[in-house]
Amino acid sequence: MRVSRSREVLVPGLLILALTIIGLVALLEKGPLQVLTAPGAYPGNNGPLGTSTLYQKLRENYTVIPATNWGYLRQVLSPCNVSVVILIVSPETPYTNEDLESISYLRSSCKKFSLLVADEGVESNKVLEGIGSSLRISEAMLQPYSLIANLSTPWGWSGRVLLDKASAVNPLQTSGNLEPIGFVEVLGTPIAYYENIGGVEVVVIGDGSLFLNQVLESSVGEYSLSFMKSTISHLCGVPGECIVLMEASKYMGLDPVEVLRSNDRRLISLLNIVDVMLSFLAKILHPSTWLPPLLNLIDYSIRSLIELNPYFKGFIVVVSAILVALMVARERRVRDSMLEDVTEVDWYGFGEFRRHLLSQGAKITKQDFITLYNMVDSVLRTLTGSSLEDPRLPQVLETLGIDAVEAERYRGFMVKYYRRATKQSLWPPIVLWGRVARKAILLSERILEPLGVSIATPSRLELIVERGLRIGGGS
Amino acid sequence: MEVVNATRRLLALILVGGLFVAFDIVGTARTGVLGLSLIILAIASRVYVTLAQGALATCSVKGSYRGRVEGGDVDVEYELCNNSIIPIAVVELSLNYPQYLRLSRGSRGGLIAIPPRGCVGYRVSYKGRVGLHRIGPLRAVLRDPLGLYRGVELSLGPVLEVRIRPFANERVLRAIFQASRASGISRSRRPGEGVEFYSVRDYRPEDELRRVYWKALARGKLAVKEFESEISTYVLFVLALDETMLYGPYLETPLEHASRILASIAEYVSRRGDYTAILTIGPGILARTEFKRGRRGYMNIIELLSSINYEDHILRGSHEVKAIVGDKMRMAKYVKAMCPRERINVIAVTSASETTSSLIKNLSPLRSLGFSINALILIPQLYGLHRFNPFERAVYRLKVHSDVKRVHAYIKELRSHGVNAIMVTPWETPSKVIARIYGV
Repeated sequence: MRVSRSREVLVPGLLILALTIIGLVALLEKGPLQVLTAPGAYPGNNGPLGTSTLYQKLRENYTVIPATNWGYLRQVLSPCNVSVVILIVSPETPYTNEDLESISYLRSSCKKFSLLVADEGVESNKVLEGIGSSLRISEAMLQPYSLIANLSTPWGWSGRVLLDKASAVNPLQTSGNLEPIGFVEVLGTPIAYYENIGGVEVVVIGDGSLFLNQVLESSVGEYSLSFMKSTISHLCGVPGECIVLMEASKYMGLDPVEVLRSNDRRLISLLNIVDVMLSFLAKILHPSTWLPPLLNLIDYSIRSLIELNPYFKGFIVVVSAILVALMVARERRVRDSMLEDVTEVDWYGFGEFRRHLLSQGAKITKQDFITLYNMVDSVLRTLTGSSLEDPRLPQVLETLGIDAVEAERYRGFMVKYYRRATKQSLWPPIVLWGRVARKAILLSERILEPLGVSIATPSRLELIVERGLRIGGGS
Repeated sequence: MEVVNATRRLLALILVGGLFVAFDIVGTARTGVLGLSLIILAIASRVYVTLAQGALATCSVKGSYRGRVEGGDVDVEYELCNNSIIPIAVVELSLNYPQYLRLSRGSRGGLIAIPPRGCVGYRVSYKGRVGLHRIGPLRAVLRDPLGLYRGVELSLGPVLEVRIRPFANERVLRAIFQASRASGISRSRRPGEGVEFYSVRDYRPEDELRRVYWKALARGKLAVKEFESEISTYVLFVLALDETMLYGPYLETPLEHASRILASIAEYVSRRGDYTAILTIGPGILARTEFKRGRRGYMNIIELLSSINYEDHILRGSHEVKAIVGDKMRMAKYVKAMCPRERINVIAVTSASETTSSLIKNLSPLRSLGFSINALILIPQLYGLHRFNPFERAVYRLKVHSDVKRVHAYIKELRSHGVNAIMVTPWETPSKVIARIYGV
């Protein structure tokens, strides 16, 4: 048996194409991709000179945020109801005034503020100055580069660490809450200080290399890590209420394309090659890299072709027209009409007559006059015992409060025209039945009203007529 | 059919856009960007309508209503919630409801926009008319703001089955009570415990002193007053339906008048503790309730009246129902089967059409079993007179008089079959009707 297969198109191709274009334009609108690879003590660098290991180790116990933008952090941490420890390891670029203002804001607004600087350069001095510390890192590096320092902190950690290209830490003044916590062996130079400025605790150590990946992953790394953990633990207090802001904004970044293009083996050895390759790919694939040149190329090609051959313009118009025609032809066109609303209706007996009566008024005929005569006659016979033809009717009606003269006139009018309508009489010869019937209705209403019956208002008219028919068995 | 279709506006827009691009290429005008923008706008609209149509189709729509009594406000509400992150605009809505209902508040349709992850409500009200009415679903059509594309029509939300009960007010009940006391709707014609005076007889030694007839004593004779004992009766209501029962203005049709009469009498009878049941017969309905005493009987009747659907039960017929109703013996047998071996008081309400009158006539064989049959014949042509001025009303009455005479003939015929038939005009209250049934 042959099984026929049909392809069901669930998502139109045009829709996918359009969504793709929208996505590309959106990416383009965000600008070129800023993929940077920093060879320095950047927390995202897992090369030998990076601090990614420190970042990972601290994350095990604390909330650690890489501070890539101090201004943004100021907004995020406002209001700041937690303890904050800023950790700065060997920054490479200078701090701006905006950065310092943001750090000062955190100092004044956070529940508790502490600073830990590990730097052999002078970039951190601005931060120390900004928060009012009297400690400064010396510009001159200690000789020789490899030294051993003895550390002994007021919070009970003591031990020896290996320094690599360290600088001395000098206080601007010796008075105040200052306490040296580390000295270089042999030289006796102070290498680390602890300072308390009105509740703001500051720890400065004149060497950032203590916390680099290459040291922490080496055999001597455990001392550095132990010192760091002990210091952060002291500065933070309760781990759950403390955020560590790890400097990540003051390092020189390198474009991965440039790194690969330079073919600098020394530089590449300082970086993680897998990260560099991934960054490179991301940069290459981003539409900002290839879309503008592609559009330029297309534009240039079309212009060249137009300049080359004047008939090419016509060709483009024809192709465009075909594309537009195809696009329009693909669409199924429908008449765009409003949704039909429910038409509310009332049903009536004699519906046609009702509509006519309400819109154009009543047309009254001879037959209507005869009907009226019979109705009134039936009512009078039921209520008074006298019919319209009975000459004693006016006297009877007089007893019910109706003027006898008027009643006699009415009786005469009704009987005269009833005889004419039923051809018992030929007088009057010309009758406008509409007018006669109208007058008869008005007169009848006046006669029947004192009897409690009405043709023009809801009343027991039909019931009385029925009773009259039952008693008299009349028309 | 496509989920999204183009309207004729799209063709116009694309042509204009194409012309602008062509002018630019040929070099007569710098309109290329504008032309391309128009074409991109058309594509963007297509994308938007496709996405929004999907969001509209997956909207969660809840429907509910408040109000259950005839003449009161019945509020119908739909809540449309957009679960997606795509804003839905512009949606044209239209509510499906029976054409014999009339909205008193709100619009039959409208244009709405539903924000992403947001909800909008749509509410209408109408004055409740007795019966079962199916309201909903909402019909919806989505368009882009320029109307270049139109989604297919969607049905959103549930169909609400709105049941409206007839209204029986306390004032009418009191009037019925007075009328029934005078008429003896449930007299036993035997002396005993009760409130109705029966006779005066000579005093016997066991008689209570409070029953002594003081006026007789004043004349020197010791006598006591006797009261008529009350009995529990069985009342069977029969409501015969046909399309003429729907004639008349909103809330003032014979069906509504009949329901009010039946509900009022049923409420009164139930308060007395009598057994009641109802039989509803129409082109598409043959339904009954069991005889129950007191409140339960009344509630059964109200429930049945509020389940009459105009379209299914009155305007559309069923061969099976017609076969039973049209056969005199089968009809009598059907009614007999639902009644206990008691004296049954039948109160039938119907319009004065040939079908329904013959139906009542078919109940007449039950008289031989001791049933008393009362028929209230309504005149559909007289409903809705109030919309005329007095003179037009008089003329209209003359015109329908021939029909009224035909009703007289029906009534006469029913009476010849032993049915106590009376004509009921639209302006008669249930208490007046009761009084007329029993000739007070």
